Amino acid sequence: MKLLQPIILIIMLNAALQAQQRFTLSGKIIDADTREGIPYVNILVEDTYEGTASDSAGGFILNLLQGRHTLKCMSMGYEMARLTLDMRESKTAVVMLKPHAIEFSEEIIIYGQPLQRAEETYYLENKLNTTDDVLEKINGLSMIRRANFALEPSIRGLSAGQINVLVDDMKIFGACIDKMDPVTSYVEIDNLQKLDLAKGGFDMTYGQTIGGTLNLKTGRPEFNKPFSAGIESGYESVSDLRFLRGHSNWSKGQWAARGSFSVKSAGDYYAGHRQRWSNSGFDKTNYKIDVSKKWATQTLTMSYIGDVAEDIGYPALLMDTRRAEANIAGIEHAWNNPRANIRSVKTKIYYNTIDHRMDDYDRDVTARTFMPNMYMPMTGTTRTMGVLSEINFTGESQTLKIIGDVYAMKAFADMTMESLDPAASPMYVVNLADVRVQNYAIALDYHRRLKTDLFWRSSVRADFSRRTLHDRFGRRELEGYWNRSGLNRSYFIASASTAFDYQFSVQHRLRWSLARSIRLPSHQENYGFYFYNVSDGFVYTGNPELKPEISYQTEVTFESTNDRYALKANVFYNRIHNYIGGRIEEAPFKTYYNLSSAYIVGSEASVYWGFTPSFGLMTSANYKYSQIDALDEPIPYMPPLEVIASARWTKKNYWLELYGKIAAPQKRLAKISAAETVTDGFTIVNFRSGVKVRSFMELQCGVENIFDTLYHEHSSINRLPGRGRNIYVTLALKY
Amino acid sequence: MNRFPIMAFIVGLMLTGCESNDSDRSFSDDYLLLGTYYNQGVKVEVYAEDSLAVGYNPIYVALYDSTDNRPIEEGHVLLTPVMHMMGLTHSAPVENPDDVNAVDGLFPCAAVFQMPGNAMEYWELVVDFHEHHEGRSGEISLQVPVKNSERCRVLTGADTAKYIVTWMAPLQTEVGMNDITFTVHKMESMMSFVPVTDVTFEMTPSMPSMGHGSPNNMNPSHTQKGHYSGQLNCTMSGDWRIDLVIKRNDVSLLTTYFDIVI
Repeated sequence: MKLLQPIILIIMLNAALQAQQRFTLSGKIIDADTREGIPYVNILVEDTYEGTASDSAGGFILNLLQGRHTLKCMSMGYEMARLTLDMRESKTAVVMLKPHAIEFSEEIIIYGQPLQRAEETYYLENKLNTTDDVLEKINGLSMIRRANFALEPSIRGLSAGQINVLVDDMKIFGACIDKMDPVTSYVEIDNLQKLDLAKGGFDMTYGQTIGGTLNLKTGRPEFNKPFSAGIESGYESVSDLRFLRGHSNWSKGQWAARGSFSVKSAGDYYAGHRQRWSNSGFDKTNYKIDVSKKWATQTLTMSYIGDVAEDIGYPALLMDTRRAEANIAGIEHAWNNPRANIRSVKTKIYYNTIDHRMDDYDRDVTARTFMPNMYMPMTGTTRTMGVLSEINFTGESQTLKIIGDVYAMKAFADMTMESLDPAASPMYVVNLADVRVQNYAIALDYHRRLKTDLFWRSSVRADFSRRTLHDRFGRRELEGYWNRSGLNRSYFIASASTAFDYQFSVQHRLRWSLARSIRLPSHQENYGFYFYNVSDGFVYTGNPELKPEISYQTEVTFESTNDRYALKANVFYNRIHNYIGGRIEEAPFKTYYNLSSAYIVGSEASVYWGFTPSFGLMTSANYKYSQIDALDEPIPYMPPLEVIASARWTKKNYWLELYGKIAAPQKRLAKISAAETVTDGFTIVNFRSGVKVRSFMELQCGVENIFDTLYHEHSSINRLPGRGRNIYVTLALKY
Repeated sequence: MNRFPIMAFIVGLMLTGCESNDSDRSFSDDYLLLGTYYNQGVKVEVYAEDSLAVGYNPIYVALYDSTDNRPIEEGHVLLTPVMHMMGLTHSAPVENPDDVNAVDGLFPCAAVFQMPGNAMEYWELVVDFHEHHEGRSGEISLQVPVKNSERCRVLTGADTAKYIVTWMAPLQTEVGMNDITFTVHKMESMMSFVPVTDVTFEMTPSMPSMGHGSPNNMNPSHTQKGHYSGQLNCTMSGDWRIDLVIKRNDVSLLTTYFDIVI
């Protein structure tokens, strides 16, 4: 077993510690409603690696250095509380925690130590190199690999139109018809503050979905930091990646601003066994600016993300991205009044543009079997505009959130085919005929504490969606394909979910959720024309008559936690009616139809043991079984049984982590919908470490895929292998 | 600037005046005038939709009383195309009006030129008329240029007879669904061509450089006068080949194709 091979690692540490006086803080944490002590609350000191947990009566003791400290107190079933103290002497403190309601989403904090829930954010508290690195490690998320760039997230084996991927609650639609531009690529790790991951279709705040919602939340300007700045540079050997990124925060009075940039350049990457994948490099630039103004109860924030990626090689596909540009802008107004019944009103107006150009000019087109001897440059654009409004009403033991969600998007895509034969005329096809979608939705989200230990949450959401075609050329293509005119379409759908959360002891809770959730066909599934799908080699055309997918799903979650360990386990079942998939018309053409039904049943479990404050172990596993009834095969790209095990040792000035991932072979194959073949099992071992060399300087380094295993995930398009051994080093300076 | 609306009004009045004057009617806005001829006190104007080309060409004849330019809208018109080549002559498939009444002032005819004209070989259109107002009849003729096109095939059928198959419409094929019409004529003699009304079409479009065709095409079927109409679906722009198998009693009579560029 490779995991057991001895590993000798020498880490040079420079631990320069200044001796400072410490004072004792003795405190008690109590329930704001019952005024009783809360046991096993995690208490963490911001900007340090220090922390503790409350005892069985809610009491705790901390020895703190002289100076100002902010404590974060977190416990399951309660809202997080923050407490700032000036330690010039020993003190006592009482912290009240408000019971919190049922969260369908796991809030995974990327930046801003300490962590809300150590067991969930275990991998994430130390900077990883990319957003994809973070996503890959989350239990229940898998990544669809097409290149060494911008992997596409899949939640419990569902992806694309079956899930929602948002940036700061904003809807963004990829422009590339080959899904080369997943929304996750626009948020650099430096800007990623937390992830709201709601698995399954229970949370309908930001859209009706059957698979889940991944909401990437970016960093905001901080009003309490007059000036701060950080810069980081790094190198990865596996793809000769060099990056430089930096961020700065500025605030004065009612104003605060934050800016960040990231520049990356990578060459060809190596898979295991030093297998080089030519034409797999990329260049990427990302910048983000946020400006906030604060009044007594109101905050206004303007945000902009600009992202440009060029010359991205896609070894698994026929094409490479020449240029991908995203401009994402939003203005958010928040009004908060903690004492009123209307607790908060949040309104956001946003607009984004995505432009994607790809071609195969760098490929030998004479050698390929699909459409040989011609170049096929393609463009894709989307424009999305929306308004999102949230009103929170709060009563004694209940809350009601009303969400109005309106957006309009338009999508256009085309392809020119330039034959190498000079006698052949150039060919042209419109893949998305200026499809316009207007969507109007209202959602209600109601929480109620039925008893001290029993919570209830229920959500309903209704969407009206109108879809029209505005490009004459592309509309005529589809009218010819369907042999009729009048392809415009309207949908009205409504979903509902309910959940009960029973906290049967301070350490244990059980949640049962149930939903009938619906998702609309994506604009590609309705109106795509001649999309080449590299995974099954077919050319797909959309179907305006598609019915929405209807999912009946249920999930039972068990959580157990104390100051030393946390266990989380769930089982879920998701039955999807009107499952949308391709049906062969005549090779190589497929058309989207509703293919009877499909289901996924699965389980996820994770255990965290904090043996000592400085040493922790984490292990998680997940397995899913799926089936599309009409095709008698599983849903494509369904991950096999996966087990992750990791150990971490954290000291004041350094940390070390050993991480292993074991994937079983996947022998259940989607042969019709994705021409899948058996994926072998594999084991990957990573070592990571970080050293705080000076108070303003941190060095991180590590070796990923230590044994240079040649492997590919089951969700890797065209069996594109994962990265081989990677030695990386980064140096961060902050002020 | 102030005078502009007044001028526009005056110009507008003038234009309205022109349109309302029936005797000064003109077809040259919509059609190409091939020539104006006089015979027996009748003025004969011959129009085409566009410059004449190999294939199916609608041709329109307008008759007037040459003394007062009064339109004549009742009568017979007979068009005969004649090809002059090195002292020999032959005709071409032709369509003449069924009705004695003009349609919107014009007698609609059509000619299917199976070859282009050039310096040595030229097409002549002979128009015989017999008007019903005063019973005058006569003949005019005009020499017309006919440019080449790929819209006509002269073929020998399985029955050894000669046939002329023409791509009649659309002149400009679009991406998507197109109403398509072919004509089929049989050559009975050098001067006599008759419409063929009893054949069936099998039409198969494909893109040679892509290796695929398109769905929902409808084979052309006979409508009238040797015209066969169907539906052609072109899924993208580029080079298309439209293969035709024309059958009589389920036996292949003619096989041909048309190449088009969209």
